[in-house]
Amino acid sequence: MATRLPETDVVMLGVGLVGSIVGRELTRAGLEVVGLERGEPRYTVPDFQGPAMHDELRYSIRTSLMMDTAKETYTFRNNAEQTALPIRRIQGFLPGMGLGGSAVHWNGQTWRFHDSDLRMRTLATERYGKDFLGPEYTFQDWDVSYSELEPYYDRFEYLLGIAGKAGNLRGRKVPGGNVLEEPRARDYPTRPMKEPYGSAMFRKAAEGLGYHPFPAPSANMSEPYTNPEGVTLNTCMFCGYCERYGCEHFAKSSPQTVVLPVLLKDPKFKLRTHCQVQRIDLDSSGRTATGVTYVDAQGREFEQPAKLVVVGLFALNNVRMMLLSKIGAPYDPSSGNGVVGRNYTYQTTSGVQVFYDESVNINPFMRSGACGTVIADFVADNFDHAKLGFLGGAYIGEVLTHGRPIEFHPTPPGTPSWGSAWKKAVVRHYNHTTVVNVHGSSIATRYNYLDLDPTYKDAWGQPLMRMTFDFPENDLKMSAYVTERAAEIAKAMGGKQTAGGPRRRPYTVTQYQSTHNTGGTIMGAERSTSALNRYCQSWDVPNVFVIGASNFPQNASYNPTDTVGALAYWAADAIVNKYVKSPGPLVS
Amino acid sequence: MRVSLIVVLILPLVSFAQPASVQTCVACHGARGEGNPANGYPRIAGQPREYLRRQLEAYVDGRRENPVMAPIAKQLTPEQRSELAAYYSRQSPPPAKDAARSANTKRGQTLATAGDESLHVQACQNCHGPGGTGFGNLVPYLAGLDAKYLDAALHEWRDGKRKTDPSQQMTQIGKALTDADIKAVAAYYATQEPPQIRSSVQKPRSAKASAPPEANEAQGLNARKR
Repeated sequence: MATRLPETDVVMLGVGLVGSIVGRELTRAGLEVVGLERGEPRYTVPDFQGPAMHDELRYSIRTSLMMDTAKETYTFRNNAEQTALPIRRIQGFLPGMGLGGSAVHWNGQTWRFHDSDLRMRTLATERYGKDFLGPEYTFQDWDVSYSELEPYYDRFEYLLGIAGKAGNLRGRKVPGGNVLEEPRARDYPTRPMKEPYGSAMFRKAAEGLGYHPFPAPSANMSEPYTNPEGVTLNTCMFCGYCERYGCEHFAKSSPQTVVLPVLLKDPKFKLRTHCQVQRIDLDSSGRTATGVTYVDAQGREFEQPAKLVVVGLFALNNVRMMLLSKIGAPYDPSSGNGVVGRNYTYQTTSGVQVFYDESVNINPFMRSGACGTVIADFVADNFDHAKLGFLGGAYIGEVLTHGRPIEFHPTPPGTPSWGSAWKKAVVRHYNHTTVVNVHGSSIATRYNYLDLDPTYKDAWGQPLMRMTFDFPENDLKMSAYVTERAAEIAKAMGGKQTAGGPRRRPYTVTQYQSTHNTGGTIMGAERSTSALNRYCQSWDVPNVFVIGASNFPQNASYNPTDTVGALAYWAADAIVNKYVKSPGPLVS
Repeated sequence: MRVSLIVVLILPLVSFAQPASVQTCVACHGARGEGNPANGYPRIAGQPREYLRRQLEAYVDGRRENPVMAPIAKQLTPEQRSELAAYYSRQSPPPAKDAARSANTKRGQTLATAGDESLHVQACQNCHGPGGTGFGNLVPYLAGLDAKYLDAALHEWRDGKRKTDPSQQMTQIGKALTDADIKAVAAYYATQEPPQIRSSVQKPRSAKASAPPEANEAQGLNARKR
């Protein structure tokens, strides 16, 4: 029997990026918040300190900071004809676990979406006509515009101390920054990261081809920074251990380094770790949440009653929590009806390697997760799609995040994949190779979705979530087009040889591509096609808010974290200034 | 070909042998860089060559403020500063007795090896290496340096008298630590054994004339040992 605990104002599911920000905003407004985290408590000191943190085998290969697949995982298949199987080793994407969530092990690439991402259906129809893509493409508007989100992007970027250079200040174009970005109210809080050598060669080549290169915005610090919470970050030391690692230098923005030091001191916030939430409990009407039921590390079951439930788990787990709790109708691909699990999207990535002769030293080990030079000329709707037959785009950039010894072994095509010839080639090319990355959008289709697996269960007896995904035709066309542009830049970078190609089917979960799993609890204007309204509030159970990349109706060219942070502030603002004053649906 | 061979053979001996300019340093730092802890002159033996050279340059251009070292460094030519750095980077005398060594180093050990979450200070060993034995060509070793010197150095970072770290990590750390913390971490490192000569005892891969200067010097050192 579950032990019933005293009621709290708010129960927060997950204490990662969203949970820390929303927890801070709600406690600041006077609410009592209980934060439930499935993983362990962990802090820069002592948990992320060197030299132990630079254990590539432990953290990169054995993914020590990620979800424990011995206890829970997802099942995967490419299409509904197949039988999904559990993902038993984390390879394709990296769901974090523990205090701070995935924002502990992220790279720190921090981008704003375009209005053409957020109002995609409206703006694409205006520019290209109603039937530009076929009816199987279910991309839609978020019901939030860029100008509405701008102040929340700003708050999030100033919380994190993002290093960058604005290219569009209230409409005034600033050379050297991203002149193709949406207007921002003010410049980045810290100056851009130093430009690595490979990035400088990319910049010259891109400029030569008439593009507009600029420094990638980074949550690895370029200088010491004290944020509005009064928390200070230090400068990045370019150690090359960002993604898959915690930062030992307090130099990467994460909940631990930007907001938790303040939140955890607030007596209104109670952190409980090793708490596995089983479901959100509903009253007999099914229209109101009464709290949550969770199991602690000793296997004891607790009921935590709450007036308000905020779900801020890893995107895929947000969807699963809604399905397990029976909030909102599950999506059915055969009819196209239902909303939870709808519009699951991903990220369409590719790359082109540039091999140099031995006089060019790239020093790939001396990098950070987010420093590099990028162009946005093929992002979103920054270029005309009329004759291309696809929507969406990608940024192209030299953003080599690391040169770690186990993972970084560039060899030119034709090199044997093992043995002494391979070893010789790795030695020859390790320090003389860079990569031009293509990071592209993912459009929603009727056939890519999430639901509960009929067969497999987690350690607590709950059904796993099933992913059904393959790359849509639209995105393969996009990848082919933009990767060709990337190859042209790569060829102009002065190497001896280039190699690489566009993304191809089938999607596989055994090769790392991106942790940007998006959609499934999408926000929108219509309750028939979205699980949440524009304030990230459940249409069906108004005292449940869901925040994360699961809210994206389709995924954009850029990395999602900036938008997740902006949505956290946006939803927290709606909770504090609208919902608390008058509990109930914020959109009727 | 003959010329380059001669260069290879002679250069190492030149840089290993004591340059005349060492006379400028011996009175305080000792002929082999062992230092004089009692009087506050630090051990410099075996510090990375490029680190030592850059310190001398910093005394010249004012990024390191020090009334004793600044005029001395300015008297030297850039070539002399370079040869002195090379010479002392290669020395490995036994550590001098340091009266300031303290038995109570628990707090210092914590700061050195783990850091302090509440102060937002990371472990020294992230950059200065496990055991404080230094890292690469630019990060000095701390192990076995005398406590008085290390204490003064952290205060200099804190007070802006050292501006040789563009990342400002050391400035931030100096500012975050209390006087007691600084004393503790200085005492801890003073109790550690200084490292033996590092890069220069590595076995060279080849003795080709095209090998980088570092390898040539290593070759010279090995030849001398034989």
